Amino acid sequence: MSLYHHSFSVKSDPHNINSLRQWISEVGEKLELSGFCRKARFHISASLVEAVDNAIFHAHKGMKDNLIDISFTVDTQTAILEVADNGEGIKNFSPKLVSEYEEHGRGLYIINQLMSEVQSVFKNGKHHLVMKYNFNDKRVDNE
Amino acid sequence: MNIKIQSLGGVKVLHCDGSLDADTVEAFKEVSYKLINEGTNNFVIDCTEVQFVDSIGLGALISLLRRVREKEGDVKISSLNEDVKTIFEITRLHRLFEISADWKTAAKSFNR
Repeated sequence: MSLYHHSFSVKSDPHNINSLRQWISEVGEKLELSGFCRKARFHISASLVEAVDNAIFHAHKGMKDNLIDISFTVDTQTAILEVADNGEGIKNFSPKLVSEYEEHGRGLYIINQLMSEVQSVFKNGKHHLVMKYNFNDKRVDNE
Repeated sequence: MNIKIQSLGGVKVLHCDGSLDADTVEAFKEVSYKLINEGTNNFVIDCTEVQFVDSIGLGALISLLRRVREKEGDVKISSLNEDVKTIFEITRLHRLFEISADWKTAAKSFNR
């Protein structure tokens, strides 16, 4: 049974990024789960920003009237974040780190490092990036 | 994002606040590219008041670095908080940029 669930849509506009990041932090603080600590809030909110950036600039190519669907579900063990856009999706999701002077292409790699599990799926006519964070994940993310 | 510009000899220190992300990156580019056009090649980006950087913000820093290194200049970063430092480390950009504990140390390092 989930402790928190909320789904909504936002316009494909970078102005929404800061408020989305704040929203994750506020949810984490209100739930007072030991696992949903400051570090977890950072991992999840930074991943949400990268997923929304990806939707805005790659899937929707900067067209602000497109909608991004966001869903966030939390139980005692996990937080599941889902971001859906009108893009074609990502085949064989396995993001690699680009070369150091490359200016683009790090977003999905960052998500994959910060979250416990990431899947790219196509359902109901939309591309969904499904990101799972296990609160007991002790993986070192910056080894 | 607010950016305060401080001149120390030939080095410009950009004291940034807030986030360097998709929403603010154009303001950062506008200020930094204007300084390049005016002849600045050495920058310190003081992140004391920067709470968050996303991949698009990282791209803007790399773009600035590429532009000034063509002119034998450099971009040095200072005062990263724990979260921003994590983003630099997982993307290995702490190897591309010289990162200092504070902006004064970063500015002085141009004289080495």
